[in-house]
Amino acid sequence: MTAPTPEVLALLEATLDAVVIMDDRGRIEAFNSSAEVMFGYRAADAIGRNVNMLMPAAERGEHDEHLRRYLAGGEARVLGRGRDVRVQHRDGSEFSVFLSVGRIPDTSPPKFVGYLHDTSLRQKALATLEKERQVNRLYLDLAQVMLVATDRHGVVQLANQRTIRVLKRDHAAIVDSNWLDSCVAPEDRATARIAFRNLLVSGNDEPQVCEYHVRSSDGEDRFVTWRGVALRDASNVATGVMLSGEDITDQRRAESEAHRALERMNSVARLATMGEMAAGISHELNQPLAAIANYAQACVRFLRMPAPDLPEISGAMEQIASQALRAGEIIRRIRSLVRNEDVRRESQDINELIREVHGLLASDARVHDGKLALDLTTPLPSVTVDGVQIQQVLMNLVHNAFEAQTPEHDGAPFEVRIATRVTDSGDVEVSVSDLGPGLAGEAEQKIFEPFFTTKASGTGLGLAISRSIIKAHDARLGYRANQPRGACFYFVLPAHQEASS
Amino acid sequence: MKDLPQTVYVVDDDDAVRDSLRMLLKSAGVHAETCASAQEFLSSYDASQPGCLVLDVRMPGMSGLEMQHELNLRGVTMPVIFITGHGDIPMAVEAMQHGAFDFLQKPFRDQELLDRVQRALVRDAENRARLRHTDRIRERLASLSPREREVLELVTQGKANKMVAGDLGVSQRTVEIHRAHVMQKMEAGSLAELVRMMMAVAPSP
Amino acid sequence: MLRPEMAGSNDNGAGTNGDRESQRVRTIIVAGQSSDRTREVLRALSGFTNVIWPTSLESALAQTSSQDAGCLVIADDLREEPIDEFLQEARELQRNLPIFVITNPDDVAEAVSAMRHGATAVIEIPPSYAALCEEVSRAMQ
Repeated sequence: MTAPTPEVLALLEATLDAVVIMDDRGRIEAFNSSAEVMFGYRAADAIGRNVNMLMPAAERGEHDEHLRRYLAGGEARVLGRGRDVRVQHRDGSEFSVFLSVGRIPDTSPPKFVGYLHDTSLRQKALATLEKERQVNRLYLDLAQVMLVATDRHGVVQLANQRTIRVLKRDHAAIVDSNWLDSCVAPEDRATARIAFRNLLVSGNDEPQVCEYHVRSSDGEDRFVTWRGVALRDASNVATGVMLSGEDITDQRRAESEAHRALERMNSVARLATMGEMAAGISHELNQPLAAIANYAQACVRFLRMPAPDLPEISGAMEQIASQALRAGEIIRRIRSLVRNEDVRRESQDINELIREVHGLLASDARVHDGKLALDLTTPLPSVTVDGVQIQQVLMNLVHNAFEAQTPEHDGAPFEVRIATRVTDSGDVEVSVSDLGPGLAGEAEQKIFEPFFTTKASGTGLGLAISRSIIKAHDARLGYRANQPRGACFYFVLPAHQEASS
Repeated sequence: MKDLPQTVYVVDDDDAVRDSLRMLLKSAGVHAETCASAQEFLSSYDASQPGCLVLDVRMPGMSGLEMQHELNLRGVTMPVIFITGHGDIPMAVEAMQHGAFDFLQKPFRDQELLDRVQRALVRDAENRARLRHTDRIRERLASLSPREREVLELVTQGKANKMVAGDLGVSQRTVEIHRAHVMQKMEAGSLAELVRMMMAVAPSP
Repeated sequence: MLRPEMAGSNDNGAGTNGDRESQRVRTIIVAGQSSDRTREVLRALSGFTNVIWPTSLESALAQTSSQDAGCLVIADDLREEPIDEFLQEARELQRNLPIFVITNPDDVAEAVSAMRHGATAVIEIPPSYAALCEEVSRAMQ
């Protein structure tokens, strides 16, 4: 071999690839530094030896065969093409290289030069990546939440196993489809679109929550709570979104079942309370009716007189009209109290609610030979409540208080007091107190329990239901001893917050 | 002779009921006065005023039944007709046992109320007449001397003059004289009448 | 009819001579036509001894006027006479006899009328069987 020129030497040494020159018998004639590094042999040790020492034992024979065949006039398998081959380090470890072989021109017998490019690192990196990808995939698929990633336009990039299961579609059907158009239920698309846009334009990385239905391939709608974040590139521009969704369909269904059952109990209790107050109610209605009957009959008599007293008669007529309206009001109030309406929370003035049922409560008072006193603080902040339900609680508490009176209340008329006041925290406290025997010992513990009653003919449900109504209003129905004696039931309603926009 | 006119006193806390009753009674030619509470009536009523009461049972403050009790204590015998918006039998029975004259549920037919008011006014007139009568008897009794009084008692027990003389230790003639004075002072025309007078002022069994 | 006490002992227990004051058994007289209501009242009073249900108005009044009458319960309408009239007659026979009138529930007008004609108390049946028994036992003490 002619000694390489300095340029050739430079070429050989500069490349990171291993360069091996072999003769027609496969003996190594040149072995560059990169080959030394790659294979772990010093050039001096490699030169003169067969090139198949660089191959795994199993393949050595094959290489000899190929060489022999080529030289015998066969086709070149290797020349002009590159291929991945397995080679062996001096320490026995195998690795892959990308081999390209060329015949050195003007040599006879022929010499060959081979370039070996270590692909193992790339492959190792790829393998590691693949493994990580699989691990990530595993995490994604093990997740009990639905995970979906989309680009800026809503085209799905990634969907985990759970998403696939919920949507009853396979991966290929979801990925590359538009999330909003194919997976979100039609009636919720507008909501979802707005939430999606908000995620993309919002400046912060706070997860945003939005709830909407997704529709599975067989048309079933599932209700999901979605938490979304924007995915951003290096310059903080949103490139897409990541959504994590929890299917709360069953939970929702259970909640609404429980709610319906509670409503049914509420309306039964309301009817029961109304029934208990029936004496007071009939009294309440009989007053205007009696007045109407008296006025009308008086008019009949006046009209029979030779000179009817017209001013009296016309005055009577006016009174008849107004008494009829009074009766209608009472009936309307009763009807609204027993009607089974959906819960409607509105901003209310508690004092007004109390005044609306004052008539009915006062009648109940009269039936029990008692007195009803109102101690209302004005002004009161508004509260967001279901007015009818709060009135139901009041009726229950007041009725209980009157039923608790005992004959020995030292002669003074038995007074039940409804009071409203503003607490230190600005909320509204409503209390119903009496001067009866109060609650002793175990009754105080058990008084709110369903079916516990101190009355001979009580259902024991009134207070339990009242407590659940108050609880549903984010408040608590409590008991404290009244001074100097008696019971006081109270609840504190949070003042109505003006919606911050 | 006709003394003070009879007045129906209406006591009810409900303004409309009170006013409509006033008007109904007026249309029937009955004089009525109204009060919104038991206290108002008790503080302004004078027992010499004849009439009757139309009284609501359930009122704030003093109830109708409590007022009736108070009237009984004061010895006011004016007939009471109770009216109520939600009466039941136990309430009615209790009121009647305590001396109520009648008990009506609202709303009522005008004739029902007017009939009862009429009956009550008649009863009140009778009561007062009887009271005047017994008052007069008592006055006359008071005018008897102790001896005359003794003679009266024995004679109205059915004893003959002779026995009376024996009991008192006086002569029969004395008894006859006392007896004549008694008949005169008591304005009795016969023994039977005298007995009736004594029965009228005797405490009832 | 009272016979003078015989000197010596009387050991024929509940015989015709049992009219000793302290052991006089008084009667509870139930008046009313033959009806479900009257039978209900009789059933309610089945815990008491000496309850009688006279077949005619005359015998009912006769029983009422007797010294042995403990109380009178007018359970239902009478065939021959309005209740109030019978009540008034009974009251005139015995000023102090407890007389109870049974009415339908909530018939206040009927109750008031009975009171005005001399009833001691009015009891609604149904449901107050207990109230009836209480009133009667109080009356018999």
